[in-house]
Formats: sequence, structure tokens, C-alpha cells
Amino acid sequence: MTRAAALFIACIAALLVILPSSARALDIQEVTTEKGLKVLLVEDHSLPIIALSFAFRGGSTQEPAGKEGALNLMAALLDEGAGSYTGEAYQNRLEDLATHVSFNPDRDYLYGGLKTLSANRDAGFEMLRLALFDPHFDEKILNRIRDQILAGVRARENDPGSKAAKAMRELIYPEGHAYRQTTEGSETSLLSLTRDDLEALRQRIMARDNLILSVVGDITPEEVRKTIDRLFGDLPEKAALIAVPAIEPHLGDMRHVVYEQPQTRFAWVSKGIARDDPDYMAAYLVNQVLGGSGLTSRLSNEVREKRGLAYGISTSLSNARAVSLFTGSVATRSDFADETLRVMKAEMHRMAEEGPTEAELALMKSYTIGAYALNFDGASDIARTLTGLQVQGLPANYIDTRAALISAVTLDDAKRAAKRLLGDGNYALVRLGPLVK
Amino acid sequence: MIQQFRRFCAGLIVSLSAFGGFAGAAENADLLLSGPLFPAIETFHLENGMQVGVVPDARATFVTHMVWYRVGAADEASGKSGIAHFLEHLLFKGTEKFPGNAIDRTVKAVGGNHNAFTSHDYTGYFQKVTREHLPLMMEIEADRMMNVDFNAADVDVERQVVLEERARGIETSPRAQLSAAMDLALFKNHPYRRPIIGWRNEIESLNVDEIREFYERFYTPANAILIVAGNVTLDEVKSLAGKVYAPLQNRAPAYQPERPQEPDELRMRQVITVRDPKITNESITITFRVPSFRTGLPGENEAIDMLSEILSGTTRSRIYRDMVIDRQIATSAGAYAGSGARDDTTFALYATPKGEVTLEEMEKELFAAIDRIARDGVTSDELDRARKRLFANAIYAQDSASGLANILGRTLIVGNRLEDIRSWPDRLRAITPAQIQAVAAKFFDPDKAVIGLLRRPIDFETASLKKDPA
Repeated sequence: MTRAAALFIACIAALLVILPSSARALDIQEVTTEKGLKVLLVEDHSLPIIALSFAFRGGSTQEPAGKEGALNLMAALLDEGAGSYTGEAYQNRLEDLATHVSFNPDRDYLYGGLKTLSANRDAGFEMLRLALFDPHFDEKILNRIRDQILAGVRARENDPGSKAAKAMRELIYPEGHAYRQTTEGSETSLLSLTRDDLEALRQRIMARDNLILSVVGDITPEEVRKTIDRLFGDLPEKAALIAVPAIEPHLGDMRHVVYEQPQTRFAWVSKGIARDDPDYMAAYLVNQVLGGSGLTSRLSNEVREKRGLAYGISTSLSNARAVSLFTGSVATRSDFADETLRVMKAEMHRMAEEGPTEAELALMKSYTIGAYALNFDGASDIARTLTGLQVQGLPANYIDTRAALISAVTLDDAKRAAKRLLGDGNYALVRLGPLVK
Repeated sequence: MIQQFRRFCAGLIVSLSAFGGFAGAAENADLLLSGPLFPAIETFHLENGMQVGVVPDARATFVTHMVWYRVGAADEASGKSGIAHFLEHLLFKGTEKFPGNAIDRTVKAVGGNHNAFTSHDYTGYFQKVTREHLPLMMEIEADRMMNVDFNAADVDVERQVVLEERARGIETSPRAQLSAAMDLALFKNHPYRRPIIGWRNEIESLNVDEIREFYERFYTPANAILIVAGNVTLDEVKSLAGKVYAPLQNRAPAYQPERPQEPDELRMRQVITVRDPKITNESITITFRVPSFRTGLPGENEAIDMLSEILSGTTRSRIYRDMVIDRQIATSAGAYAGSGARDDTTFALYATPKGEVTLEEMEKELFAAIDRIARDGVTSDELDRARKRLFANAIYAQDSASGLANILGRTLIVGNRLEDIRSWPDRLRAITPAQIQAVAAKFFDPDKAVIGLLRRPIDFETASLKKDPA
């Protein structure tokens, strides 16, 4: 907690009682296997559970043109039959082992996870190995799952959130860039997908040089070395990835999607900031002050708390591999939509001009430092957080150095970051709702 | 902030309970659940009647602090719907000690997250913070249990926020509108029929005095349950709660909900249709009224949970396997049981047909799935697998102290006991195929079902079905 925040609390609450802190830092070990795979490990033998989180760099951006949705369909089929197990037998075997396997693709990565009882460690990991190395992509199952994805794609055609997101992608990303597509693909592209498309993508993406690994739970470093090599060691050394060109979002345009409903939804995007930019942390804090979580952000205070114009309004920094954005959204009464927009713009402008105040910055530093501990709710949560660190290119000791990085942000840093984010007043805006009367 | 928990979501209360001592290297999750569930959980009462539940977990990096009140949307006076949820919003508006947005700022300043939720049966508030800040969170929660400073201006602004929450959650969603209409049909007399967030016209007319009166009646220590989970010990919580919550004086007696119950004699099949141009995939939901753990005969609720698991727990379960995999007449299909409620609750079957298959065919298939179990029962293999899955979930549930805090709170607040969690594996082991067959025969009368259809507009009616944008 910063001194200013501590003082603030001391002023409003005379503490009756205290509870000593028990600084429980996570002990993160960096383990390297014989095959050269690097794993972040948190050993914890207090429960008989092991969680593995992994990520292959190369998400849906790796799909050839016209084959959008291939990665998502592939991921959905990995645990639907592999090795000597048919789809049903595979699922039954996982159930017998009380082992959970999951795959979750996005634009830039294919994420995956495994959770198993440590008693079933080898058998559970073997099931995942089969899914990665020898998935069946059975024709009949492929067709069924494709039908389900198609049903979802159709259902979202008229969904206000999806429509607004689609309009925004078309506004800010250049024609032909993979980020214009959703990971699910389109009706046309989905219908064109074959088993060979999935197999080709699997072989290109699953390799050792683009693999990120984290393990948490009831397992020793020696066991990690053996288990991880058995599971991933036979993958090809190098992935065959297509380079995805970095892009600047196209800003400055506005689109109105006419939609009859009682609310108007705004989504806006301005320039973001790269994760490895020296001003990233300052920008992160500026975002917290402007539109971060809770009721005290400036936007929330002005739009919700003072005027009752919306249930929620928020902004966030987003960092994909090819683009960095500063995004925001709100759903507001249609008859007051223009007022909400006016307040939003005024606050963005004020932030660009003045930056946060000393007190606002101190409060959000204190929050951002303290809330990190909330990311570690159980083994799977911790494993995912460690994978997230690696995806962002952060070192394992980031967990220890993070607080100091945040503390070091000065008011001048924050003002500069605010100007960099919002100073040009340039943004893309999507408005979804009824026509203005 | 402030999401509502649907009764359905709050459902799996007893079925996702916690676990206990572990045996050695066994493959079967069943064997791992020997002895009472989760022996580390403790409960006790303060002298003012406030119940306390503690989930100590030395592995945790933070604590979850929750206060639950035994009052929800089902306890509102007729014509005053939405008052419980509205009040929940107003508890963030401050007290003399924490004026204005000081509560949010204080929680932020210590790096905490907080929120609240309202259901038909309860209202809850929580913070997640590192352990040294637990006393401060207790101080906030104890203060706003008794000292919220209501003023009409705040209430009017917050009313608009609630109405926007309603617009976002219900008025812009055909599915939510159908669900609200089906609740009205399934519960003809019991207040579970009303939407948790309330009816728009009633929210618009609630006044500050009514809200204060509701607050003063139900927010009192004897009507509250404190749950603390994470890296704290029972003794630490006893000591802190003894200092912060125990001195609070009751201003009203504990509340024992006694709501009008459903009549049993009405037999009518009701079909509700919501048509909306936003719908791209038509779908069907069928609901039945079934007993909760509290209202059912011994074993009935457990059998209903197992029935739901056997029908729809995985892709190999009956409904999905038959309709989606084998015969490919649906793109999705399943069932869910809302067993965590205080009173009789909802069991639902649902399906989205594939291609040219009609909703009428889906309806027939869903009823047939229940009927097959009512006539022929389930196999012991199905039962074993379902039980094993639930046990595995319970084993993993102990990995998250905050998740356990939720389970414990939801169990206690609707009138169930810690013993009910502890005995859960044994009760599940005792369920027989015959019991599952019996509940399938008893509670799924097609002539008492509510059938909800989400449809595209009829072409010639499109114009008149346009929604009023008010």
C-alpha cells in the first residue's frame, strides 16, 4: 500500500483489530527438461492435484485464407478420439481418471490445460499426449461439432455484442488481416474445412520452439522433467508459422449499426501501448483511473454514479501480438445516448490534457499492487497466470518485481502516458442502437 | 457491479460440495472421498445470533470475506418487486463512517475486489483481500449492516442504474424474457415467479422509506451469516468476529421465510412463446417444479441431481448422446436442476433442433427421455459414472477456498447445515437406480410442464412484433 492510501484509510477507519500479514510469495522454479523445454513450476504437495497450463504460439492467424475457424474446430476435436480410443472411449477414460483436458484457441495462441489427481499423473498426461499426437479428427464427429459451431455463428449474427464487435473489427483492421475474422470463422469458411485442413494446421502449430509451459501442484522438478519430455518431447523442434504483420489500427471513423432495442451500445478504440513499452505500467494505471474496474473510475463516477446513465462503463488496454489497443464500452439508455457520449468524450479529453491527479494515481497503484494476490485462486489459476506471464514475455521473477515497477511510476510518467494514449483525440467509434430521433 | 445470481446458477449447491480426507494412490475418485466432506470447515454462532462459517486454507494467497443475509427477491411484499436487489446497490452508497464512494475507495486502496449478489433466497456481499486487510473489511461490512445513510437523491440516480441493468440483462434479451415469462407460469403462487431484479414499473415506484424499512427489518446480525475463507485460522476468525460483529445489537428478530407455496391440484400444460427477429436458432425449454434439498423427502433431491447428471452431465449422457450424437436431430440438448433453492425449484430440459427438425419434435423427444427413465430406470453403470463425476468435481473444488466460501454460504443461508455438506458423499452413495426412476415418475408430469419456445417472427406479423423501444 502506498503511504497516501494508508493515510486515506487511517483517516476513515479507526482499526479495532489487526491481523498480521503472512507474506506468502509463490516459489516459482524454472525447470529445463533434457529436450530443452522450459517450464515454470510451483510445487505444492498439500493437495493431490496437478495442473498443467500450456500455450502454442500461433493462433487463428495461422489459418490459410478461406479456412477461418480451422484452429477452433481442430481444438474442439482433439479430445474427441485419439490413439486407440474412439471419441466415447477417450472421454470415458478421462472420466475414470478424473482428469480434465481443455483447449482454448485465440487469435495468437492455442492454449490448453490439464488437471489431474496426482495418483493418475502418468495415465492422465498420456491421454493429453494422445490428443496432441494422434487425434482422430473423425469425419462424423467433425461434422457434428462443425454443425454446433455453425449454430453458434448463426445465433451471434443478431446478437448486439457480436454485431458491435464485428463492426469495430471492420472499422479498425485492414482488409485481409487475420484480426478481421473471429476465431470461429464464417459459415462459408467452416463449410469448406476438411480433416486435412485440421491435420495440416496441427502439424504446423504444435512444436517445441513455440511452446509455453507451466505446472503447479503435487509434483517434483524431477518428475516435471520426465513427464513434460514424455508428453511434449517428441514434437517437431520448430513450428512452421506464418509471420503476422504488426498493424496500426485505423482510427477516426464512426459507424452506426441501426438496431431496435431499448439501449444504445457504444464501443470505442484508441491507440494502445505495447506491453514492452517503458510507459506500459504508467498507461495501465491511467486506464485504471479513467475506466478500470469498480465505481471509482472517472467514467464510472460520471456516467453511472452521478448521472445513472448506465449500469457499467469501462475501458481497458489490450495487447495482441500484432496490435495494441485502448478500448472502451458502455450500454446506455437510448434517449440519453448522446449525453453519455458527450460525458465519455469530455473525460477522455480531460485525461489527455491533465492526466490523473496524485491521489488518483496513488489509489490505483495501491490497488494494482495489492490485487495481484487475487490471481492465485487454486492450482489451475496459478498455472494459467504463469502461462500468461510467459505469453506477455515477462520473466518468472516478475511476480516479485512487479510491485516495485508500479511504485516507480511518477505523476509525470502517468501524464505522459495519458497524452500518448489519448492526446491525438483520435478514435474509432461504433454505435449500435435505434436511429436518433 | 452487482450481478444477480439466477436461481438456476445458484443451483448445484449440494452437488458441488466439498470433499474430505484422501486415500492413497487410487484411480477412482469415489475411493478418494472417504469420511466426512471437508473436515476443515467449521461453523459457530456469535452471541447476537450471527452465524459464522470458516474455511481455513493455508495454501491460499488471500481471504474471501462474505456476509449473507437471509432475504431475497422472494421475500418482497407484493407490488414491491426489486427492493432486495435495489437495496443491494444502495449498500455501496456509503455510511457516515464511509461516506460517498469511500467503501469502493477503501477496498481499492488495499488491493481488494468486491461485489454483491441477489437471488430469490438471499443477498450477499463479499471482498477478496490479502489477510492483513480482513479486519478492515469486517469493519466496513459491520458498519453497513446497520448504518447505511439513505438519501432520496442517491436513490433516484441508482434507480436509473438498476433500470439500465434491467434493460441490459432482460429487455434486450429474448431468452431472458422467455425465462421470466416461464417463471410466471411455473410458479403460480410462490414468489419465485417474480424476476429477481423486479418489474420495471415497480422499481420505478419504490421509495426511500420503503427501502429503509426493508433494510431495517432484514439487515441485522441474527439474520446474517459471515463466511471467511482463505489463509486464516478458526481462532483468528473467532477473535476478529468477536470484536467486530459480536457487539452489534439486533434491531429486528431473525427472519424465517414463510412464503406462499404452490398449489398441487392445478394440472395444465402451458406453452409460452417469445418471437423476436433477433432469434436465428429456434429453441425449446421445458420446466418442471421439483423439490429442493430442504423441501424434498430424504434422498429425493439427491436423486434429482443424479437424474440431471445422467440425462445431461457430459456428452455421453443420455439426452446429448441420443439427440445430438446418435440421431443428430439437435445441435444442443440437455437438462439442469436448480437444487440449491430454499423452496421447490426448477428442473429444465432444453434443446435446439438441427436443420428442418421442429420444436414440436424436440418437445416429444425431451419428454420421451424422461419417460424412458420413469418406465425402465437407469443402469448401475450410468449411476456409477454420474456419481464418480460429481465426486471428482468435489475433489477439485477444494482447490479454491473462495469457491468453497460460496458453497458454504449458499448451503447455510437457505437453511441447510454443515452436516449436510459433510454427509453428501454418503447420501450420494446410497442413491439407487430405483430412486432415480421414482423421481422421474413423480415430478415430470407433462400436464404440469411449462413449455417455452423461442421463435422467429411469423413473416406476415413481423411489423406488429417490433419491440417498443421505450
